[in-house]
Amino acid sequence: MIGPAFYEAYANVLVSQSLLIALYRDPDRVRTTYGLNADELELLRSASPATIQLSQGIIRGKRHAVLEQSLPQTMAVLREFDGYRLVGTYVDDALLRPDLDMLRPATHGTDFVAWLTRQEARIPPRLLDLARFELAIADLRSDNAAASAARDKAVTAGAGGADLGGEARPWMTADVRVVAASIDVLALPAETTLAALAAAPPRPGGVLLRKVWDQPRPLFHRIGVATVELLLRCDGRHTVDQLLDQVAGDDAGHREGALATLRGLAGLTVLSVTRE
Amino acid sequence: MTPLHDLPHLGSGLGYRREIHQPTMEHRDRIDWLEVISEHYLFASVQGRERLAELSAAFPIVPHGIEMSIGTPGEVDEDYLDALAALVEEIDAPYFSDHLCFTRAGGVSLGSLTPLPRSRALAKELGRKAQRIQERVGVPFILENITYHVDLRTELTEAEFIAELCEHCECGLLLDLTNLHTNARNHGYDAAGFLDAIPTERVVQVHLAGGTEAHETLLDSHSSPVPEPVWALFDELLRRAPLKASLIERDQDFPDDFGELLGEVERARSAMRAAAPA
Repeated sequence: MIGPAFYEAYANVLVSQSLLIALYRDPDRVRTTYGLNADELELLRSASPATIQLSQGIIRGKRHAVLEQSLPQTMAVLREFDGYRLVGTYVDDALLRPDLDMLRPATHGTDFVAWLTRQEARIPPRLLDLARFELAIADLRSDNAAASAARDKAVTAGAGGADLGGEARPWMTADVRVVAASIDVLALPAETTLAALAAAPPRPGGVLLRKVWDQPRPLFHRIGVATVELLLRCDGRHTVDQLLDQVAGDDAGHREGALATLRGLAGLTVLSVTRE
Repeated sequence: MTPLHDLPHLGSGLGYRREIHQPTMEHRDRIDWLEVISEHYLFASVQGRERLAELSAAFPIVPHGIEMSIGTPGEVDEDYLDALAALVEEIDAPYFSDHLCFTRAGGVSLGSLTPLPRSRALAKELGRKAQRIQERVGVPFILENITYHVDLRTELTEAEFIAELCEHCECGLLLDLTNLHTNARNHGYDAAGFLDAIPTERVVQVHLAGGTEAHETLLDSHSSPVPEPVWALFDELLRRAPLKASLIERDQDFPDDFGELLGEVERARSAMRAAAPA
């Protein structure tokens, strides 16, 4: 009798080298871990290790492919960096996580960049800048709200900007993403290398990405540090006055400059507002 | 429910991929129908839906799933089936397809079509499950044979398993002849014997693709032209059963000259016409 325990053990053997070794050297451990009966254990052990190893490679390859689709240049740099050893560490862990399902491949890139952020000391300098930039592109591509917002703006031809009174609470529209970066990621070559990343001059600032209806690539705009800081605070929770307090304090000139930036972005329909 | 023999004759089609969208649309007069990956559209963005509407206006479309995971113990996710039924209705698909395998179990999402522990009891269970899915979605469900590498010593061969499953449902078969060729080579059995063992009258559609070879193992990569042994199997199958549809699959290494793919679509069409009764 073959039951659900068999499938659970089978799937785990296909994603775990240590479990595969245990299956042949310490089968009792596998049997007790998954609650297999004798028939189930015998069936699982009937497969040759070579065919399971081949399947393990194919399964890992699919995860790599998902990441390469979302983050092509980041992955190319990581391959050049250590032949994917670091990526392999991530994939081995990710394969055991039920929250990363292949039905929702878009979530894998987000999770991977969050993981890379925790590995900052182990990865090439500035790679995170590139990874976050590529993730924003992938996120805009797969986000339904971004597509709807871009379509609405295409229909209305971006007419009208939000009125930014002091009590208005601005937020970035769904078709927009902002990425902070320590280098000019837009100046990197189309096929980025470790050397290109290392040679990129420091240029703190960021990129505003904007989805265009019916186009695969968003529009990119270089923005300065102050604009990045301002936009990242535009989450609909802070009033314009609070935003100005946060980024410009009491300096009248800075406040005026920041307000002009907000108005400009609202005029470009990058910002919308909520009023209470 | 439309009986399998009453399904429309779709002819010779191509697997739709975004990378070849433009030439596919430009050569719509040379491609009879398209197969789309169901999961690309089940929960698609507005833009994805509009693209599907564009395709659907130009071609008959059949949704082909890769993540239903019919072999996972328990029932298929209700939300998945709801979305699939809505997709089928939206594009007026004559039938839908997925693989006879599992892709997730015990919290592990393999993302890979994985062979089942083939037994008579499982064939019966999955046949009944496939029938329930077919009735739920409302159009015929056709099941595809996979390429497999894990060689579990199971009670039934793949062909016996498919034949037994068909005893317990009215579903059709999508026979991937490249998978058949690949498995026959890798596991050392006779592909013609496989055709002898399955109910070929249930075969609605075929898949034709080319793969790669590494360390004397064939891999189903959909990255090269359909090899001659697969074309020979296609001719052999056509001698045994009338088909409703054939499909050329290419997922990577797309040729610079789209004419290569169109040539394969044309070759499949010619073979089907030659085999059709006068």
